[in-house]
Amino acid sequence: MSSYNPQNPLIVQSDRTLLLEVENPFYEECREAIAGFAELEKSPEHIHTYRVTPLSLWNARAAGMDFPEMEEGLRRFSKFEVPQSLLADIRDLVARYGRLKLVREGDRLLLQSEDPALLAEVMAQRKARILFREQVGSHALEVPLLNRGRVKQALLKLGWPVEDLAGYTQGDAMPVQLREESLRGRAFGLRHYQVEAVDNFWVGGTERGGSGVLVLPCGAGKTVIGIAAMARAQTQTLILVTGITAARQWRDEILDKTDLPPEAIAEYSGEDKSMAPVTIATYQVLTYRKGGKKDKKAADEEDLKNFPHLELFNAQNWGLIIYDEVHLLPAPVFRMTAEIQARRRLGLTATLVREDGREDDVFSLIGPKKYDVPWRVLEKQGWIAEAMCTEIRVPMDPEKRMDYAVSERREKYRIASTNAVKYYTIDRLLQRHRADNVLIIGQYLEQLEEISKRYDAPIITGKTPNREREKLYAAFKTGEIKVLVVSKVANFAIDLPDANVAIQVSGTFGSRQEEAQRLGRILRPKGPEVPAHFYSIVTRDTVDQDFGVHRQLFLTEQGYRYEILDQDDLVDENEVEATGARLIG
Amino acid sequence: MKLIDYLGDFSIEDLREMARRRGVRVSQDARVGRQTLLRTLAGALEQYGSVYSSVIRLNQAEAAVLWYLLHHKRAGQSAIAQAATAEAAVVRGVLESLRLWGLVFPEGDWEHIHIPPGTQAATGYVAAPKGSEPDTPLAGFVVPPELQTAPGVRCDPRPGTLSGDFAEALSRIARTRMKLTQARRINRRDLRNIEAALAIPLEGYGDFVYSLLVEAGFLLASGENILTVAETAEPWLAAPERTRALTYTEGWKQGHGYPESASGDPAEASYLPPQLGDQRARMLEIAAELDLETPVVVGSVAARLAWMVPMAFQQWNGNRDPSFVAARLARSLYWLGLVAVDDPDAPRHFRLTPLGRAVLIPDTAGEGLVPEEHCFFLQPNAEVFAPPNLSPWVLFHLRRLTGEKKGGPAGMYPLNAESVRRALDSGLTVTQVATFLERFSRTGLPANVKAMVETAGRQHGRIRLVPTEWVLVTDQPELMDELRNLKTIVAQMGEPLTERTALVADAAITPLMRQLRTRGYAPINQAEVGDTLPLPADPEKAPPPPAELVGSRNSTLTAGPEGAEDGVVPENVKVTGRRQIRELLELALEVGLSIEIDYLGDAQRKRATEVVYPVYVGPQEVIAETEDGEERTYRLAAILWARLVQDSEPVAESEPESDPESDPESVKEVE
Repeated sequence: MSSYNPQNPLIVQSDRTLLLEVENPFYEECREAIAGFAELEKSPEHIHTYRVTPLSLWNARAAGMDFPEMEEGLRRFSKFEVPQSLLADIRDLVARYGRLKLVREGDRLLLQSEDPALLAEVMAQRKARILFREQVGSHALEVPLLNRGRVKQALLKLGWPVEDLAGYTQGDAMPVQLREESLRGRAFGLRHYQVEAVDNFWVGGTERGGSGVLVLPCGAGKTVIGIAAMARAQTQTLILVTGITAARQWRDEILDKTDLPPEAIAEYSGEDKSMAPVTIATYQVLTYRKGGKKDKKAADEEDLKNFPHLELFNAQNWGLIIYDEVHLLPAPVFRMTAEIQARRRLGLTATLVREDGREDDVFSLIGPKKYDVPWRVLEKQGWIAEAMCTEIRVPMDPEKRMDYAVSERREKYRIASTNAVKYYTIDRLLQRHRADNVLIIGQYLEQLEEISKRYDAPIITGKTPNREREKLYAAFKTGEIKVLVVSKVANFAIDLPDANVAIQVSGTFGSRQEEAQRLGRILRPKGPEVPAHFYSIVTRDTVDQDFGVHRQLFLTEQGYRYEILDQDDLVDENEVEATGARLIG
Repeated sequence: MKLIDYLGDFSIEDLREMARRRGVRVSQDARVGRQTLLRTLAGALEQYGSVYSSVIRLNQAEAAVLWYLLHHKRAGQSAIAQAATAEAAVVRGVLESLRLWGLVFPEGDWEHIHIPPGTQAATGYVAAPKGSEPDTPLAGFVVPPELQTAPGVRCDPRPGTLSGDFAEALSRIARTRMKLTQARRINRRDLRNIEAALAIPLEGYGDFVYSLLVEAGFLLASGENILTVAETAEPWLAAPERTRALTYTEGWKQGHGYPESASGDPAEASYLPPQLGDQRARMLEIAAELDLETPVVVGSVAARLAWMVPMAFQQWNGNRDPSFVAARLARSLYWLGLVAVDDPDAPRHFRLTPLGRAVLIPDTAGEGLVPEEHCFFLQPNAEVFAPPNLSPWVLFHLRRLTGEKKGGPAGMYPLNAESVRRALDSGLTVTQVATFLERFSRTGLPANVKAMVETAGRQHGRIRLVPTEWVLVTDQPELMDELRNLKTIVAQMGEPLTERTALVADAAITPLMRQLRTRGYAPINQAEVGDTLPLPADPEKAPPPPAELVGSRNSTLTAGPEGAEDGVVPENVKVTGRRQIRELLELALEVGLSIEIDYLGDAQRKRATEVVYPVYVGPQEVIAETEDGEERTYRLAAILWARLVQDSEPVAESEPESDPESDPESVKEVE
């Protein structure tokens, strides 16, 4: 009756968590078996946490997985007896999927169920009832076309996932092929995980695929995956990105890796509002509001008409919309997305951690997570650079200590983050990495300007004109510049393939996703045995150190280890040369 | 014939069984010597007072047949069989059982029955079976009702284990200063905090766990009425799962807390119906009949229970509805981990678990129990994962260091600066913490986690509040300057004494500590730093289980190899817990044995281990003769443990169990 298999890698708990031992020989097999119906929550070094959620189960069901297959996966790899209560829960939840279906009947969109009582239950809920037009016979409710997203969102909240079989607008055709050799003359092909990711999204072009989020580490080639999705869809595509620099990098990548001509790609930004079969728009321009900033809540709930550029969603017959860095999706774009559920939607991100906690909205409106691969898995396979993360603790500048002690928390963080003693550590790190391409990343402009002056290194901040930024990025890529100082404008979607050292001198408090994105800047592989180095300099025994610990959470949960050093642990470069001592990292 | 003549026909096994049923405590000599046993029992059975306490424990068949005999003086086996419309063999079985109770005896054969005068005294309180027919008044009462099975009904075992919850509760008590109420009971707020961390979120479960902890003698109170963990808890937590379950099941059976037969909420009930112990014991007997596969219906268990102890359901002082009581008892068995149920709050069906089988069925030993391990996983994100089979001994120590989890998987605990600070506050050291984490982590101690522990240690205690007229002391003058520049802090401080010290008013201690912690400091209030159990340093060196865990006294459960036989207290077994100590003293008084006690001392005397001869055992105190022939009074609550000694000869003075230099008033048993 009671079974105990200590050789197995999985601990199945009745609170719906699955804990997987990474060092176990059956790890890979087990991961394959459970990843289809459980969400990877955390993947630190030794034990990965998966969670069985209603969404993960419905997602699995949508992908064709049934309950016996899930049960078999759990029983086969579980170390202890699988709790009966969990199996019963899974069976019940899985059975909910597909009991409500959205289908198209002529011009009408219908919510159908074989169980009239279930439809009555839905109609008994006021929040759901107002979304329907009328009852059609005893087995269907008519849904206004514009309410397709809201109906799904509302019913999901009530615990009834809707199987959306209403299909997608095909969009205007746009023939596009991936190149076998890139425009820059390099051999090009999709990597195995990129193919898997696109397959999981596309699902053969059926109505079972076509909307969802792909989660891959920075440097794993998410842009390429987006381009591959375009090649599958063969349709006009709207790409939403975080800023102009990212938009231009997308354009360059599309030109480099597909046969699309330059005139087929347009940029829709503050600088240029062109449109073409592939249009790349920034979140900033989409959220531009007539009459300036108003109440945030009003922006969420009301007057989308005051956002003139949201019209872009309907300006052309897009067949695919790609949301880059989907974890940053602003509220008005969420709202607009609810109204365009007939278009295929692809979300791309490295960290589905939203500091505002709106992960559920991403699930409801863009689609469920379709692919997620732990960072360290790709690192082991050599697709992203091996990264050495080091936190270096420095003492507080004695002159600032009293100011620090008597300040409020926010000011304390500023004083500790901009601690001048950090320069001594930067000196040593730059000396150590003088042959490398180094990014110095920070939060406070005064501090960054000081660093820029001190090392005679160019600086990019929000004030730097785009043209100037691109010039500096280009110079960095060619190696003309070895050290580049950047503010948080460089956190996202900046492709600096040759950067292999990042020195973080300050950050946005305890932001986990910022830390991950910053590490992402240096993760593109530079060749075998060329590791990336990520240094975070914090002031010891201050809030800077406390926030540092929080910032590291996402990466440690992805399996990265931080080495902790004191400033004095950094070996002097000259001494190293004299003694042959090993460099740290 | 005299009573002793009837007993003369009994085998020694039957005599022992009679002693057990009648609750007659017997000495070591009587246990092995038939004649001594015979005399002891004859004497006890002559006392009419013991009849009532026996009769209320009869099952329905025994009670009905006894009623019939008391009202039909010349009736024999055949007449009873006719009245019961039952086979003669069945009736004979009932009569044999009444014989073992010492209530009736055959005269030659069972057609002629002797009813001793003591038994005849029961005529007034053994009632006719309810609803009986005039011609066949015993029909339907001599055969126990069948247990109804319900194959296919899903029953789940409890989440976690009771031992794990003991570890969780004890760790919280060890790391927090929980002050008892004036009545020396736990504060409700503290109990609610403990409850929040237990594996079963049902109302009443926290009270249930706490009552068993008290019963086991694992909780002590310091001189300031602060709840602390007894040293005996640690070896118990390290004992094998089956041994632990045997002892807490025995504790539950005999326990004083959480009476399931209370009419109101058992958690609020201060009165313990005397028949509860029998109801619990019979419920365990029923559970022992079950198997791992097929659940039984609680309604049928209630009918069986009512048949087994009918008079327990006829008392004014407890709930008389067998279904209600049986459902509550089933829930307690579920909480103990012995059965799996369909509805954790109000079970309607239940079946045995592997642990229940190991505890209740002698030959199965530990079959189906998962071996425990001594290592957890410590990850670089400073989360510790305690696998479900982690030994409660390790879990107890681990939870002294870790923080509260918010969501996340069961068994995953965060380690953070605050949790380490709190552990250091409780008296642990950075070295102990780091060593424990390193040695007990299957995945080592990641550098960042080690650094976090060291940082917390470095910051800890830089500010100390010293209770000599309350002086605040900093380790450096600069730190004192810093504090003096903080408005919220300086407002709580008095005049400076030196560059590193300042006076603090009594009333300002609590707000000052709070303010300092809010500002990120880790001050120590030295008045609150107490002795604490050190952390273990080697997973291979768990403390050996104490002797009393090996075999439970008076156990009707399966006992270990060196266990006591039923109704007999073995020598050299230490007994803890106030009730158990009192019972041992009563036994020593009854049979004239000497007893060794560890007495915490009082205003006149220091803590000492003494051998004494009890003269009087009262509810609060014991009068005993010391080895010097002096008569002394001992507070029952101040006796930490007791054990019988071999004979009445003076025994060599034993080494005190604890440091004789320690404060004699430092610990008290918790009620």
